[in-house]
Amino acid sequence: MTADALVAPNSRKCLGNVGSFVNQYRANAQTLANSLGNRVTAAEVLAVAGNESTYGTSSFAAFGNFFGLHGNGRAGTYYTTQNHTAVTMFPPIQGGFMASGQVFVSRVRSLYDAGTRSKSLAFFPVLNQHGYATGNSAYPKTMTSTNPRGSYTLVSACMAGH
Amino acid sequence: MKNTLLLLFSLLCVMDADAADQAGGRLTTDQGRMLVLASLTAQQGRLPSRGADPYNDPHSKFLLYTVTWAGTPNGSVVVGNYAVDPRTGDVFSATTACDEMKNAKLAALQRKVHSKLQCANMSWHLRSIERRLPRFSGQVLSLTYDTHSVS
Repeated sequence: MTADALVAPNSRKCLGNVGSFVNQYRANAQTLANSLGNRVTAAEVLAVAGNESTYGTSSFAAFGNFFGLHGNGRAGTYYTTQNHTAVTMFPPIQGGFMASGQVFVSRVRSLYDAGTRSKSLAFFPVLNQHGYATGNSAYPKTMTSTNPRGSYTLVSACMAGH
Repeated sequence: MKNTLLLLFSLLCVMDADAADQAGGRLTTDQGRMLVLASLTAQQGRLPSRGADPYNDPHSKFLLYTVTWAGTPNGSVVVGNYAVDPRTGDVFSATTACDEMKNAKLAALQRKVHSKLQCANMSWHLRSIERRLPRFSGQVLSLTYDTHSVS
């Protein structure tokens, strides 16, 4: 969390840390969104990754895992310190976003095979029903909330200026 | 009698402050972790194998944690990312702008933490004053006594 996040709760301002994240991974997110199809947008992919990795600053992101992926990875496995949960490791930083994103896409794409998606922003409810933000049924609403501003709202504010 | 109570309070504060960070009135990583886990909703609190991993962001003044659970094979292990103000014990979502976590369990824990922080702050300030007053150097207790005997 930055100082910006505390002083600009409702404005359309692009927060610095979110803006850096969007600038760095926007093109990769578009590629992943295209692979997902079903009208999923780059902003939705970036919002999920930003929410999972605190916009690329969490320790999981340092392991190249931007999507909270579970299990063994091509670069090994990280076990969380308190509960020893297996977290997938990828080649870190720039390569990590795309590498973990491709695994994310491969796991999520099948959720749409039955034509699940029928309207915009249906991505978050679908993820929530299939193991994302488990225990938080308000996840879709939180992601798109404007007060306080959720991850999708924050990411969209930064994409709007480009 | 008044002096005795002050002396006792100061002594309790000095003992209690051991649980807080030595820098004076800042939460430890473990205290922040307890607050974050207390901030989870009842539904999140029922998830199997929960834990909070601290992480560093050089640009942030907050204590930061990723809360995880056992997860599903194709889902996410992340329950959420949280930021704790080390000086107040306030808990925020680290990914949603200005979203403070609040519930009864967290509030009760924060009250305990606040009292420890206040004690730690008082203890730190007393030691700081004491260092600047060589005539009264020694224990915090003597400073408290001397201050009141002079007035």
